[in-house]
Amino acid sequence: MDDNKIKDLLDKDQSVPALPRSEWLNLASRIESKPKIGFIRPLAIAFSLGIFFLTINMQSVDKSPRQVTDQELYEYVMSDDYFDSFDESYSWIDSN
Amino acid sequence: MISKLKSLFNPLERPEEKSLEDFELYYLDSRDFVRASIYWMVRDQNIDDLVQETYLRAWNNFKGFQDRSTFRTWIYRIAMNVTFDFFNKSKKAKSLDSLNEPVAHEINIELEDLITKAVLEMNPKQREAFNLFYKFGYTTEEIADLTDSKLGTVKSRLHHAKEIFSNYIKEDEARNG
Repeated sequence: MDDNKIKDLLDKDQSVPALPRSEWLNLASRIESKPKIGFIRPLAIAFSLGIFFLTINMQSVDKSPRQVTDQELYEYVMSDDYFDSFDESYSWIDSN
Repeated sequence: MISKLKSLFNPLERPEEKSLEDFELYYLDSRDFVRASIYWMVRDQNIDDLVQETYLRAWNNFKGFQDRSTFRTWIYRIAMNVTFDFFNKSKKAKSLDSLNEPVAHEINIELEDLITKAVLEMNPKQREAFNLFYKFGYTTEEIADLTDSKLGTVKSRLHHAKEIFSNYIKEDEARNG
C-alpha cells in the first residue's frame, strides 16, 4: 500500500466528533472557578515562616523568672564573699 | 525570590498579564487541530474531557508562555501529554471495548471502524507519527521537531506503523473478498 493510497483512505474518514457549542464557556468557567494560588502561595509561606520564628523566639525566653526574696537579697549582700572580694591592690583602701 | 515578592506588591513591576481573552484567541485558532489530534490518537467519540484538560493545563502555564508563533507546537505537546497520561491510566490504547459495532449498509461507518481498528493496532508512539504524517501532512523533520524525537526514530516508527496499517487493511480485504 503506497503513501498516497493511505492518505486518500484517511481523508475519507471524517469521524472527528463535532465541537460542543459550549466548550469555551465550560472551559472559561472552570478556569475562573480555580483559586489563584499563584498569588496566595508566597504570602502564605511568608506568614507561616513568620509565625514559626516568632514561636521559636518566645520559647527561648524564660516565661517565669524567679522572684528573689528579700531574705535572699540580704544574704547575698551581707555574705562574706561580698566583703572579701575587694581588690587589695588599691592602696587607698585601708584593709584594717 | 525577593524580586518576585517585589513584583507581587508593585503593579508596575509585574510581568505582562495575559488575560482570558488572549487565551480565547489561541483556543479559537487551535481547537480543531487539538480535537483532531486527540481523536486520531484515542479513536473514541468521548474526547471532550481530554480536550478540556489540555486547555486547562495550557492555561495554567500560559502566563509563562512567550513565543506566540509556536503556540500550535506547544499546545500539541500538551495535548499529547494529556493523551499519553490517559493511556497510562486506562490502558485505553489497546482497548476496543468502547467502539460501536459497524453498521453493514453505512459505508462510512464501516470505513471508520476499519481505520480505527488498524490504527489501534499500533503502539501510541507509532500512531502519533502515523497520524501526523498521513493525516495531518507533516514531514518527517517536522514530526521529529514536534515530538522531540530523532529523525531516525520517527522514520522507524512510521515504517512500522505503515506496515501494521497496510497488513491490517490487506487482511480485511482478504476476509471480505
